[in-house]
Amino acid sequence: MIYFAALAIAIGFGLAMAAAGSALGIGKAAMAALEGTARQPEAANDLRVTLIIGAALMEALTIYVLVAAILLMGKLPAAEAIIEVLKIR
Amino acid sequence: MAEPSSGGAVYELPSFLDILGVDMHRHFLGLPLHEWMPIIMSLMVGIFLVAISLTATRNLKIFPDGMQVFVEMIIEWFENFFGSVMGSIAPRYVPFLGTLFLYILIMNLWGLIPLMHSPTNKLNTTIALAICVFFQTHITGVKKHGAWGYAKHFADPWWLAPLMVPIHIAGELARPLSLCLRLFGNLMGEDIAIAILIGLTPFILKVVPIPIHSIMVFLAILFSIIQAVVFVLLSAIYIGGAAGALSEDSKH
Repeated sequence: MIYFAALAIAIGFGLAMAAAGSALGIGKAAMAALEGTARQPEAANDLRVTLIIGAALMEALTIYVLVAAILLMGKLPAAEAIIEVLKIR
Repeated sequence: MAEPSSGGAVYELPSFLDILGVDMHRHFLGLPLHEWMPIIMSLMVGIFLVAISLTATRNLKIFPDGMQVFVEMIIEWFENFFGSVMGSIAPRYVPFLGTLFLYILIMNLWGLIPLMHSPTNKLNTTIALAICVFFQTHITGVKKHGAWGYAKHFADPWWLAPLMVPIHIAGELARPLSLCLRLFGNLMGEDIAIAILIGLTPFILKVVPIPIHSIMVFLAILFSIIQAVVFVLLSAIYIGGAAGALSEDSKH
C-alpha cells in the first residue's frame, strides 16, 4: 500500500515540479524577448521565432514528465480494487 | 462518457465507429480495431487535404478567384516563413515542410470535430512523422556535403573526436525523439483534459448541460496551431543546419 501511495505522490509532485521549472524558464525567456522587442521593435520577427523555439524546447521537458507520469499511472490500481482490499481488512 | 479502462489511465471520447456499434476489439489484419483508429483518421485527413487541393487547382487562372486565392495565400506564407528561417535553400524544401505543416495542423484539429479522434495523440503517427524528418535531414546533409564531408562534421575539433562523435550521434538521435514526444504529449494531454472535463459536465435541473469543456477547446485550438508550427520550425532548422545554410545566411 505504501508503494502505491508513494507512486501516486511521486506522479503528482513530479509533474508539478517539472511544470513549475518550465514555467519559470518560459517566463524568463518571454520577459527577455518582450524587453528586446520594446527596445528594438524592428527585431520583433527574429525574436519571436527564437522565443517560440526556446519555449518549445523548454516545454518539451514537461511533456517528457507527462508521458512518464501517464505510463506510471497505468501501474496504479483502480479505486474499486483499493476499496475491496480495505473492506477485507 | 469518458470511461476509464481497466488500468484507469485511458480517457477517450467515443468515435464514429463506436456510435455505429462496431466491436472495437475485433481483429483486422492481426490488429485489434482500436489500433486502426489513427490510421483510419489520418487517411481521412489525407483525403480531405487532397480533395481541397484538387478543387483548388482544377481550373487554374492567371487572375485567381475562390479557392485558388486561398491556397496561393497559404503557399506564399510558407515561402516567406521558411525563407526567413532557412535562407536561400528554402524553396527546395517548401513542398516537404508545407505538406508536413498542413497535415499535422489538420490532424491536430481533427480531434475537435465530434466523433473524430486526432491521429497525433497516438505515438505511432508522430514517430512516423519524426522519422520522415530524420531521414530528410541526413539525406540533405549527405547530398550537400558528400558522405565523407558530412561525417566529418560529427568530429568537429579533430582532437576531441572520441568525445564529440558519441555526443553528436546521441544528439542526432534525440532530435526525432523529442519531436515526436512533444507533439504526442501535447495532443494526448489536450484530448484527455477535454474528455475528463466532458465527463465532469454539470447539469442544470438534471437536463440542461453546462459545457465547461469549451474553455479547454479554445486552448486546444491554440496549442494545435502552436505545436504544428513548432514541429515544422524545428524541422526547418534541422534541415537548414544539415545543409549548412544557417551559418551562411544568419548575417542578413
